[in-house]
Amino acid sequence: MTDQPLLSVCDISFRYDITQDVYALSAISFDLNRGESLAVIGDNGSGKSTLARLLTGLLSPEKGAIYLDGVELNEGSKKMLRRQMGIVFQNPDNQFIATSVEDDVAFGLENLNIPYEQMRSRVDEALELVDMYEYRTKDPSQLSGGQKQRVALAGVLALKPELMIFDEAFVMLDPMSRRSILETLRRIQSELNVSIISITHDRDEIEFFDSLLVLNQGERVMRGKPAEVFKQMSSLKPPFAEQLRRDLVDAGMDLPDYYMSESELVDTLCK
Amino acid sequence: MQINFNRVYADYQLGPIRSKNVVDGISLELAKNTFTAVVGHTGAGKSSLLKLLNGLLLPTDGEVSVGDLTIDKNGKKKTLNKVRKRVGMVFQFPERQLFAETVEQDIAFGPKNFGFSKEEITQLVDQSLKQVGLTPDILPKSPFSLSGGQKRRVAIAGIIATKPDVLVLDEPGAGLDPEGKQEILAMLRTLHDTHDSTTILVTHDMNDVVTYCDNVLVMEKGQVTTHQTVRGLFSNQNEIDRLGIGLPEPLRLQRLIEEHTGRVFPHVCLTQQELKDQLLEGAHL
Ligand SMILES: Nc1ncnc2c1ncn2[C@@H]1O[C@H](COP(=O)(O)OP(=O)(O)OP(=O)(O)O)[C@@H](O)[C@H]1O
Ligand SMILES: Nc1ncnc2c1ncn2[C@@H]1O[C@H](COP(=O)(O)OP(=O)(O)OP(=O)(O)O)[C@@H](O)[C@H]1O
Ligand SMILES: [Mg+2]
Ligand SMILES: [Mg+2]
Repeated sequence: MTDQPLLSVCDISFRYDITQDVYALSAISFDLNRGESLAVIGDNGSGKSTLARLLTGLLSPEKGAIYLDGVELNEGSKKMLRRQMGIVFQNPDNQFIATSVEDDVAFGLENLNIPYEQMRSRVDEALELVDMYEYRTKDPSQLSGGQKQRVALAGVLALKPELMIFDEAFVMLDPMSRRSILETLRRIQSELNVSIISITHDRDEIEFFDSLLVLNQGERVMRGKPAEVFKQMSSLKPPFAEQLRRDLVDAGMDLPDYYMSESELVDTLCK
Repeated sequence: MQINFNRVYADYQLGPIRSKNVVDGISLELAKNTFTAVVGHTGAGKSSLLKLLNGLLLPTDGEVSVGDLTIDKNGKKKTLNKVRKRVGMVFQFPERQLFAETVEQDIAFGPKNFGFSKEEITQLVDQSLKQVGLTPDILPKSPFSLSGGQKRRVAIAGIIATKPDVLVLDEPGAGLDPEGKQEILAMLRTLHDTHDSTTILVTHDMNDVVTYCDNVLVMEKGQVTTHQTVRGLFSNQNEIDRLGIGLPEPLRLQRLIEEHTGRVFPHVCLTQQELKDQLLEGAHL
């Protein structure tokens, strides 16, 4: 049982308008193991947020099925399975329910039947992780864009679910906070063995994830380690270090001609 | 068009309760035709500063002037209407901006209000749609049925269609795919240069700052902590550390290499091209 993937997406297709032959997602399959992290990339409109809505049961696939921990996600199991997931949507504005930051973060925990004291400390801890503790009594609608994004993140961190899904959830953070939150997530991933799916356009976030899923016009183009993906898909914009490496090779510098992460490039240059 | 802030204070009054000043005594001058980046941490007051430029937020004290128009705490309707015709603003969340039934109506709304003719409006809609990388098949759709990046593009198209003298953009690159972002920011720079407009753009991406902007304004707790040229700021590492702002990727990589070798490059590299040139010259050896 333990080597069964946490999440299995089997051949799912979805269209918003069933009277038309336009699929937002067609025949998507992939697995995600416990403790594994995946970054999902693809152009605007390629179906990433649709995938997130399907994974959380907000939409149902027209074909195919999604399994969490071996249980098929459907109307009957949705409520129970959702307790194992936490999601930050692309626009955090649509996500707030309560009129104070702390109540909003606590909201997701209410179904978990945990003692009040423990709930309290989880909420406080999560708010501190995202640097929003001092705003805990504020109304979420009266926060700045980045503050809203942080509160939505805190909601997921407090929940400590088995699967965390982030839909462009770091885009409104300043670069240093973004790196620090990504590092926190990586720590939580290994400490709690949670699985993470992060939808992003930021190529420099990719180094924080174990593998990459590339979507194009609703279809799966590739799944693999960043090194494989950027090697095979030369048209895909790579992270900055790899862009630079390619540029240097083209200009005649004697560098190995394979994908390099930032630290690999620095090490190689400084040898 | 020249913009001035003269000892401007602002807060978000909630009924009888005043919040603390989110804009706390700012004086600054944005010369006409300049392209300025506004950067700073979460909650620093960047969006609030932008909202003061078109009267969405009124000063509690001090004045904001846009060309010969002045906004103060009285916020006269007549002045505000004129200001809003000059200043086009793209919001941080595009959902806040979109409201019409179709994408076409949404983009046409501004030009219609400005009294352009029917033919002109059609032409402006087509043109701005193309400028944000969208195709006409999106025109009859509801803006609410679009993906995040598509909404952002429609929001930008609606504002540039009105050809404002002052263009104010709150994180316009957020949610755009890498190619789209590059194309749209380059297009905004071209618009700026051809229309002699004044452009102000909030971003967290320092690569955008060094690639598209002339000047940079750093905010912290409602105040402007520095306002200078982009190269001036990034050439001064002490200042960057003091202000706690991030680095553009090329410079971040340069610093990593310098740390590794213990040798400092002769030049500060702000772009990929500059870093490449320095490395080819053996600056790291
Ligand atoms: N509620 C909706 N109703 C109808 N069509 C929709 C709806 N939401 C999205 N679509 C369409 O489905 C396609 C996929 O959208 P989706 O939001 O999944 O893209 P995405 O990959 O998340 O893009 P982005 O990077 O811009 O956020 C797009 O063509 C979009 O216009
Ligand atoms: N509608 C509002 N009502 C009350 N307070 C607000 C409102 N909007 C913003 N604030 C507060 O004003 C301060 C400045 O917010 P602002 O939105 O200008 O920040 P920002 O620099 O744009 O941040 P971000 O990078 O997160 O978007 C913040 O502390 C925020 O909580
Ligand atoms: Mg999306
Ligand atoms: Mg803001």
